[in-house]
Amino acid sequence: MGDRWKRLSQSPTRRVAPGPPHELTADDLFAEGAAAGPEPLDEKLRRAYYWLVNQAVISPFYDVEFSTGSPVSFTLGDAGATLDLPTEQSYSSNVLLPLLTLAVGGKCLLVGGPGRGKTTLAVLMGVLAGSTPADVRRHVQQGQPQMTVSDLVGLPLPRDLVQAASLDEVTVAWRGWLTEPVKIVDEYNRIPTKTQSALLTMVAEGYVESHDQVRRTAPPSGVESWFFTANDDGGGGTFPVIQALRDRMDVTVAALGFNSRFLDELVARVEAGEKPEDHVPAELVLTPDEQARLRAEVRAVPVPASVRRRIEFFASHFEFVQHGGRRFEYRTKDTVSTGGGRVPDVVDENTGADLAVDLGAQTVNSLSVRALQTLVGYAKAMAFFRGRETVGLDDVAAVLPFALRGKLLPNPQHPRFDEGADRELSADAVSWLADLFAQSCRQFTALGLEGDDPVAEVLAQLARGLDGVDRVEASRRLTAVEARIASIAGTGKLYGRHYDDLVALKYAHQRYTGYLAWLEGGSS
Amino acid sequence: MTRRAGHVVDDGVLVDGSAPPRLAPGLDADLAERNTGEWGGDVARWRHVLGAALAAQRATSRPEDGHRDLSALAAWRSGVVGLRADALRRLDLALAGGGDDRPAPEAAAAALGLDPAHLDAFASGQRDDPFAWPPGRPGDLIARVGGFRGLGGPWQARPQWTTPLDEPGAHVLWVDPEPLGDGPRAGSELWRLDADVFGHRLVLLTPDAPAEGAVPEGGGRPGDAGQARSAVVLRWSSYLALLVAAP
Repeated sequence: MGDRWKRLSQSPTRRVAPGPPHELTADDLFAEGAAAGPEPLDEKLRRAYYWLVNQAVISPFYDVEFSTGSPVSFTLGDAGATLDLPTEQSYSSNVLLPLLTLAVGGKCLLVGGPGRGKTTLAVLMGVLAGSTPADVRRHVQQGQPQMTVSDLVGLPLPRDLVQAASLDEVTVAWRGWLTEPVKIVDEYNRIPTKTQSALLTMVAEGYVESHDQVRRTAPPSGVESWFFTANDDGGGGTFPVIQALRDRMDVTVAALGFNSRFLDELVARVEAGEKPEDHVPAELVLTPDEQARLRAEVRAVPVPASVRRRIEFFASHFEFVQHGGRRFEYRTKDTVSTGGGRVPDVVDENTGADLAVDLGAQTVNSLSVRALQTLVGYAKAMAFFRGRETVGLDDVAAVLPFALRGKLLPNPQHPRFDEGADRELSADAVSWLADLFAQSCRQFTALGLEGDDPVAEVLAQLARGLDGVDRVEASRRLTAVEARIASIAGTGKLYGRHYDDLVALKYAHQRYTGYLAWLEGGSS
Repeated sequence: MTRRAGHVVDDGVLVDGSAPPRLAPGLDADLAERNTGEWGGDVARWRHVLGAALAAQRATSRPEDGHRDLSALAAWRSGVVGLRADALRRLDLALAGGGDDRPAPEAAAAALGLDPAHLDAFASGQRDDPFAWPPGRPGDLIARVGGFRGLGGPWQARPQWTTPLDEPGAHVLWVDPEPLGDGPRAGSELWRLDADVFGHRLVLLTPDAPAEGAVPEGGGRPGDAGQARSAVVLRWSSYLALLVAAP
């Protein structure tokens, strides 16, 4: 029975381009492993993934789909359900996203009802990071309503509390879990608010403080990942999760249910009394050095300009709201919400824009810088995991719903969530966000922005510097910026994508204006 | 008859790969054979030409010299295109009289499957042209490359478009289920071919080719048939691509 846990997928788990041919020598001919070299980390990560889905957790779901061409699709039932059969390797989000979190040193929130394997999955990540199963289990922080800051970080020694003349003489007995490479906080929505704040400092700043003393939480590899579980993602729980802590979750993944067709495997486990974390094959465990290299290699995957432009375009939809303020720069959802207004009501006031086209009208907020950084980081991790040289649009589309879930919030008053075939999207954030990105990409293509991006040209020209630019040339560029603004004004419509372009054009205009003033002898 | 990938210089040349070569002490023949196979070389041909080369070397006054060089020359001859530069350097040293641990020219010729009379011409011709073959090829055809995956080739669809790169023997090919009448299409598989007279290597650059026939960074720079010293001919009826001498 024990042998079945050791079954690993054969390499290569994915057919990956080996790169341009390299020069070989006669010495290579007599060198051991000259052809193969050490196992690449992306291959190790894929083997870990396949061990997790095939042996450790029973998850036959393939909801992160990749296809080239048109996948075979079936319409099922009478409520518009479709089942697509992807043509390329596709993945189970509730296993893949936690694994990518381990790779990038991120923070993953696993949500779902009790008994769906959330904690098991997090514990497996701890074992893959090199901790023993017993240590990982012992270090799981069980959220409960009586949990204090001391429960979380440790206690000052009572002897020192009596004898110490100052706080820095008090020795704090720090809890062992603080420096584990994988930190697990179970049912974090049952932790009292004050303790959540202490947790936030750890998650956000990477240190804990007690009695004037500080302890860094990073393990020797420098890579730490966090796994939180909750059985509610809608603001419920014993204590509401403070927004700053919720915002720190890089990805949110639903633990999917058990497929009854796999009950035989469950029966085998009950009979053997086995737990998957006790049987993680040693060859899948990442050493501290490998964890550091893994993160560096993921970060090094480039994002091509064409993909970056699509992300920019997507992000541009959400900040602007027509009646959000008076000054142009203040016509944002943030102005409304920080001023005590209701964004859905302000969106409703905008009768000039087509709600079906204005993607920004579907949300009550915009994307934070942190959310965009997370999106880029996980898209790189997805491309790395798939053995791609660069990030593709499909990599971005695959991680976007999980990176933005709980961050980009739907506008409940938008007609899309109120009526018709899309009504179920109000509860299914992952499908809605995936669709939102697909809509944005379709708009990008329809607007012909792929090859024609005058605003990008203005910014690129400015980025090349102003050295050697004479007064005539600077004036010409200033006029070009004004002409560009005039052409947008001429359309008579204003959408989020225009807002970002106009703010950027104003920035360029200001730079050239200042430069011209400097050329003419004034102050810049 | 099903045509398979191969090089014209190998056509009709019978090889006997039954006897493993016996190399000088310190050289692991099994390891070299395994590496040759993993790099895409024909192991039977490697055994055949290396066996002949070792026999020629053992007939000289330095029977145990030059076995490393001969192994490399034989691996190149059996199709390991990545060894070309190193093998040519070693061949030049052997022709120059070598020194310690260099093979005799006649042994080097045997490792390349050549008549010793052609060895000088081969070495000088190869410095400029990776397809030089002094005995002469029957026509312009150099090699058949690729092929249907079900028959041992790399492709599930036909190569539909090709462009030479600015390096000798280098080309890129767009593989696509649909005919590409108007030029390369974004989303095709893009492969790079590197070839010389003895062997070739096909590398998948990307399964999702960029638009407008662009070659991704690191894949090479587009050139012309003169720079590539060759051209690729595609046929609608075959999964094989034909590599021919530059017009």
